[in-house]
Amino acid sequence: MAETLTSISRFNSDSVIKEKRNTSKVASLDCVNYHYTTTGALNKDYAYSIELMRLGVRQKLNNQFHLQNDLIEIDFLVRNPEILTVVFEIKDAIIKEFGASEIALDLQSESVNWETLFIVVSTDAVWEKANSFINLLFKRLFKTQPEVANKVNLIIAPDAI
Amino acid sequence: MTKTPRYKNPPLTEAIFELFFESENWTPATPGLFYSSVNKDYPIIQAQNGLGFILGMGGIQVETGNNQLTQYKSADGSSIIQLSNGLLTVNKLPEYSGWESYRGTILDALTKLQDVVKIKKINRLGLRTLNKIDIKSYSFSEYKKNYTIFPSLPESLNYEWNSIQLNLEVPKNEGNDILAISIATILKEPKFEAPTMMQLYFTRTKNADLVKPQEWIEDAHSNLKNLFESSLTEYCKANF
Repeated sequence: MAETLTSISRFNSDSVIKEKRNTSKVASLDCVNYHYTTTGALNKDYAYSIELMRLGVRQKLNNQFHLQNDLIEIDFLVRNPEILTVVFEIKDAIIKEFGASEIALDLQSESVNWETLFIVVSTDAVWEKANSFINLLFKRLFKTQPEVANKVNLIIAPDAI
Repeated sequence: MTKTPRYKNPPLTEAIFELFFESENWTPATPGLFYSSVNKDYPIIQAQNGLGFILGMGGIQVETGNNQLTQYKSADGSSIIQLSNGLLTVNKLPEYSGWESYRGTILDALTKLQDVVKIKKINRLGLRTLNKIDIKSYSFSEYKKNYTIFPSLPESLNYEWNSIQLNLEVPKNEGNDILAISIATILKEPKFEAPTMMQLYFTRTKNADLVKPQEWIEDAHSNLKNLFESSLTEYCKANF
């Protein structure tokens, strides 16, 4: 795969040093360098910039959700990155079941240890169908990812559009 | 000591000091011991699973990291210390009250780290600033109004380019340090019409063990300040 210095974005000389052991792509140990790696294993360097973590979550969400309070939901997803994947899985399931829908994320918080991300969907679905969908979805979610299921909730507002 | 120009609305969204170290006596109890010494200023303690970001052909992908950090936050959340076995960061989010104050915060964190950890070796030091600058429109012409650093494009490619990502770096201090700048257009977000992220980074990658962090950060700050002032146009700075 052709890779260029402009397709990259990482600041870490340690990464370069490690990568040089495995590949000849890196020109010089004197460079911080910004190589896109197929493993991504060295990109953890971003993990300690709060702003870059927020930016990463924002880019991942890619304006596909309305954020009720913006930074509050972003910071929750930074703290709970595993929920990002689930949010997209739920979105895909919603679109498959109900077609295009408006989806909002709304964090309700009583304390740091008691936070729930509400996924609020506005659809033209009837109540029975929406209810059945939620039950089925969470049954599966509690079975496969119980730690995530406890942190998210789904509200489908039928006949909303 | 360099004097920092004061702007009414600086574009700084985060400043980060990084210390990569090897210790002799780290134990699972160390984060708790550290908390005992910083909890007056950083009462909120949280575990942070590091997020990893892969910027590749498919855009940014997020994955969970494997570096368990403990975060110590000030009551307003604007000052954060992050600690793991081998890494200390001191993060400052807005409002930024100036270099003098931030330097004091860094040095205080270093002192408190050394109270609980015997540092065997410093592998790397870094000082980074992130600045979010609104260029109002995703266009090359607007970009050039704000930044002094831009690519030179031939006449045959005289399009209105709307997405830009630049990375430059230069060795400093006989190659012991690296000064780097990264500028990129980023997604639109609340309060910004066409945001760009300008990262400035100064890092000691060689002979880090030979410097005194309190002296090194002055040089790092001076380099970052000069880079900041030189990379932005007066038109841009007039908005700060």
